[in-house]
Amino acid sequence: MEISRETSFSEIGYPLLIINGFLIALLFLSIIAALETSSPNLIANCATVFFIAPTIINGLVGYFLGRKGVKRISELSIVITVLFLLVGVFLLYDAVMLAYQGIIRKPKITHFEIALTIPIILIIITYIASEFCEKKIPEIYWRTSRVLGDRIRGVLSSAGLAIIGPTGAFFGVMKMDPLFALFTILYSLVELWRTAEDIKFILGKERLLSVLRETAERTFKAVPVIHDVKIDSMNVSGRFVIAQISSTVSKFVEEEYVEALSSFMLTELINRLAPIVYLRVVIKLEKPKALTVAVALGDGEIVSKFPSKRVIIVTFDASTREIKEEKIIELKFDEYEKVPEAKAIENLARNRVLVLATKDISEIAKNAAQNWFIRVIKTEKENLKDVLEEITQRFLS
Amino acid sequence: MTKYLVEAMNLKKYFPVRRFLLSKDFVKAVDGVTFKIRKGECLGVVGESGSGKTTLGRTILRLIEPTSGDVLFDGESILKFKGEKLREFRRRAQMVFQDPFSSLDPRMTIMDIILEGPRTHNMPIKDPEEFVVKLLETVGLKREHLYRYPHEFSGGQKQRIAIARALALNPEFVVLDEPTSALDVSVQASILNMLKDLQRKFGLTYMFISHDLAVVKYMSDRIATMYVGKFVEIADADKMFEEPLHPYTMMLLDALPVPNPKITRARKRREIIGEPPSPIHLPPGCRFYPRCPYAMPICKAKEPELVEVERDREVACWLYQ
Amino acid sequence: MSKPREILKIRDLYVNFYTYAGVVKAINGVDLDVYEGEVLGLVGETGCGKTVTSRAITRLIPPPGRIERGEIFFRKNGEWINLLNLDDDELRKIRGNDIAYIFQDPSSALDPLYTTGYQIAETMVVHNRADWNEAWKKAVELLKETMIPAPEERVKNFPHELSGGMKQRVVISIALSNDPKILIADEPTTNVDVTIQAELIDLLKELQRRKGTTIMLITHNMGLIAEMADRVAVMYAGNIVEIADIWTIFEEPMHPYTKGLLACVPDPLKKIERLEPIPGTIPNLIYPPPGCRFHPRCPHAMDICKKKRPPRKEIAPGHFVECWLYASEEERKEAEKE
Repeated sequence: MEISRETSFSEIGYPLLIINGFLIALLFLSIIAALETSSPNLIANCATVFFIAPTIINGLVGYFLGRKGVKRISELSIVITVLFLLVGVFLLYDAVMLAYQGIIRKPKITHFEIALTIPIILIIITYIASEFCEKKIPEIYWRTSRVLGDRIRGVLSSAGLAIIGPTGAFFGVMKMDPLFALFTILYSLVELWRTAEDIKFILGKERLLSVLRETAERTFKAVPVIHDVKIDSMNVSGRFVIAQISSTVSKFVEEEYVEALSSFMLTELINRLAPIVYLRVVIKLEKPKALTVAVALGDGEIVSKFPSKRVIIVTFDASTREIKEEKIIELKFDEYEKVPEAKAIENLARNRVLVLATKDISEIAKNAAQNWFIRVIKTEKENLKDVLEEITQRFLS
Repeated sequence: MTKYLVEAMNLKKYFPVRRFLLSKDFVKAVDGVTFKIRKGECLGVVGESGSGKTTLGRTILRLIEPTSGDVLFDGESILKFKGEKLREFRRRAQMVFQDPFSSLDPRMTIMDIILEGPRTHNMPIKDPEEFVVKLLETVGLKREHLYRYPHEFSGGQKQRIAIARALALNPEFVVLDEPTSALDVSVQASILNMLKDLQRKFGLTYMFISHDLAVVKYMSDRIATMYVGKFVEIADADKMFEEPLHPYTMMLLDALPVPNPKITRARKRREIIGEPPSPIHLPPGCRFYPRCPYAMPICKAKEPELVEVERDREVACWLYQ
Repeated sequence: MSKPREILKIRDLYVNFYTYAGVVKAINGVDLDVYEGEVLGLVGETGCGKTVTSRAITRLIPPPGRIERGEIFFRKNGEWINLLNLDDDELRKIRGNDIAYIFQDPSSALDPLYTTGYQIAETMVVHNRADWNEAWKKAVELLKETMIPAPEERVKNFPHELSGGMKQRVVISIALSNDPKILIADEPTTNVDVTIQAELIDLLKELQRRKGTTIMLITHNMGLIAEMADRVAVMYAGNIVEIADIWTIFEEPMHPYTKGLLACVPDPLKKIERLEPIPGTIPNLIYPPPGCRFHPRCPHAMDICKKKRPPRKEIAPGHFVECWLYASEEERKEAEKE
């Protein structure tokens, strides 16, 4: 039996589709502008869009392939990035040549109606895409939306720069086109560099793997109910991280606790491994080898209510129902401890207790137990032996 | 007349911080605050720097426009007020600010300062001089102060003037934002006493904002503790001190310097760790998690709501839910 | 247990400020002993002169202020020297070295252009306690002592990268870097949140316990005094009106001003019906009231109070009051004759 939780389509998948849709529109229009106008500004702008594209495409690819469990996502994203970079570099070279020609000889810009309107349309589309990024992706994935948004907003700067030259040329100062293209080209280089950093990020994925491992070890294993955390896969697609982890939890843990656990683990990962496009947490419920139980004790072996002075922790072998281990803990706290019962429950949790049997329990202790995934059994039995009998009957048969 | 004079409902105020181009971060100064104040009551709001309590005070009076949520004054939503209705609200709800040195116009006489409000609201006053003198006497000043300028007065006296100015409009609700923090202890004591007397005499409702728990306790019927934009506990003042429920309130009370060496020398406090998180991108879960000695796994994943756990006692903590 | 020895003795201190409005008689004859290893609280409201007194100790009184007369004896290496008689160079060797200060606003104590590590190390190098290498290492040690997390990182930070609480810890590190005999802390927690204040108090107490540094704590906050001080000196309008140990001051205050001060501080752990403010205002020190400067606000003022300044009486061991209520009949009669 297993429970899993993942980044949903509506949270990330759908926004990625839409943003890529915007990207396609931007690419399409930029290419037309580059081809039709022969203006180095528009060509450099087109190069910029090509430089920006892979980050956004890799997000989409990362999500859909990550969901399917494909292994070689990083390699694919490098290929995509390099391809787009190459096209962009080629365009940029073309722009540089044209600008040079335009400055020393004659600028060759044509189709002013395209040169002047397309940048404006690009700006509008980018604005819409940017707002979409900021508003439609849930706050918890803000780092992902930041990355996407920051790159898309690059088109704003580029288009904004690209329109200046042609405007000047339109009003008669022909040299403005190639001259201003220098700025557009320079900006394009900035975006080229940023995308090259994507490759560096992909190549450095080992470092991320260690972060993931550390989270799995420290944070998750620290929750006593979770044993055996395994990193099923971890990948990087462009700037984004994809990961899947699985863990086992004892079958004795209640289902709603397991739900809460999966939510906790997913949230923790989102926070640590940013920015992400796909995460999946799987919790397998297994029949454990042992069951650890705590019984609140008063004097001797009489069961009392919780919080109590002492607690006995008994570990049963799950198959033979024999007692493997027993220990008694005194519940004593510092005088400045304001909520001792919460600390007592934490103590039990760290001792891997899954069930607490007691005559009665305070409200706070009950809440704390729930939040540490410990089941509370209210028992009528007076004697420790009877209570342990009751528990074995209930859980181990 | 409704029982609750002021009601805030999921009030939020976010301040945009421009990054570059179109991208914005938001400082979540007030991040969803809900409460009610009864007529004649004093609700104390306690928080440290960065808690958002000052922004809350101003947003409640619509001196700053809320980002979302609502404020009801005497049953009506103040966000819908316009023109005449808004003016009336401004008359009925007043504010006294922290810094007496900068809240009084240095170029106006006391007479003008106090009459400015009534004049703006076209309040009919038969004898303006007598009106102002009566107000001055109510706050412990004298007739001879009428035509003097603010710089001629001490800090305590300036604060009295500021209070007189607020009273000139005969308000029902007054928000006091650290009204005595800049004053010496002895002056503070007399201002606080005066504020209490005025409340009784005129049936005023107060919201008393301060970082000084001792002062807040003296003045308030109920207290709300605020942490990084949200209320974490609301309780009766005495009850809160006897039995704080939220771990942050416990931390505040432990840290309180009490003018009684028997207590300070005897008590041991837990080591206080960490600092409040940045109010821009708060991690999910309870915002007090990193500093909470009772943190449980769920605290990191889900943020607890402010719920009523006993009569007149609300706490936002998974220990109580 | 041996009787603690004095480490600082202030005798008959008078400080005036020559302003355009007139001469402000800020310190009006202050006598004070500070014992080694104690925390002495100097308490009073605005204008009482506590800050001026503390600065006068190392002659940090800029013009138009002037130390008119008095003696300040400091026991250095077993010998008593009068700080007011030293020349500037010798005094500079003591300031920051034997006697160190912490002020209210940590931001203004730190240079924004240098890393914290540099600033801590600098104090040691300047006073020839260490060379740069050692000083740098010691800086990390000192930060560790103030329980700043990740001190090796913090030494490389600039002040603006640190929070208020951390800045104050850095300031404390700087002050303690030369193992001063006396640490003068002037309102160290006023601008700081209550939780950070608690951290700093615990820190100072711990450091003091470990190093045996004498601390002079200057504040208007009675709660802070209750937390930290061993003995308390209460100041009003340039005079010390009462000195007693911490328990006595709170439980059996004698001077009317001390009583008034305690009555108007809200104690959050008690149910207070009403605070008792002290009537009147702090006097103008250009034209201070004659005799006892508190008499215009004192509920017990007698004729003699308006004419002559009361003598200091030791009404119990270690408990000093300057008030005519506690002077003997003869002293009063003597004074009235003049």
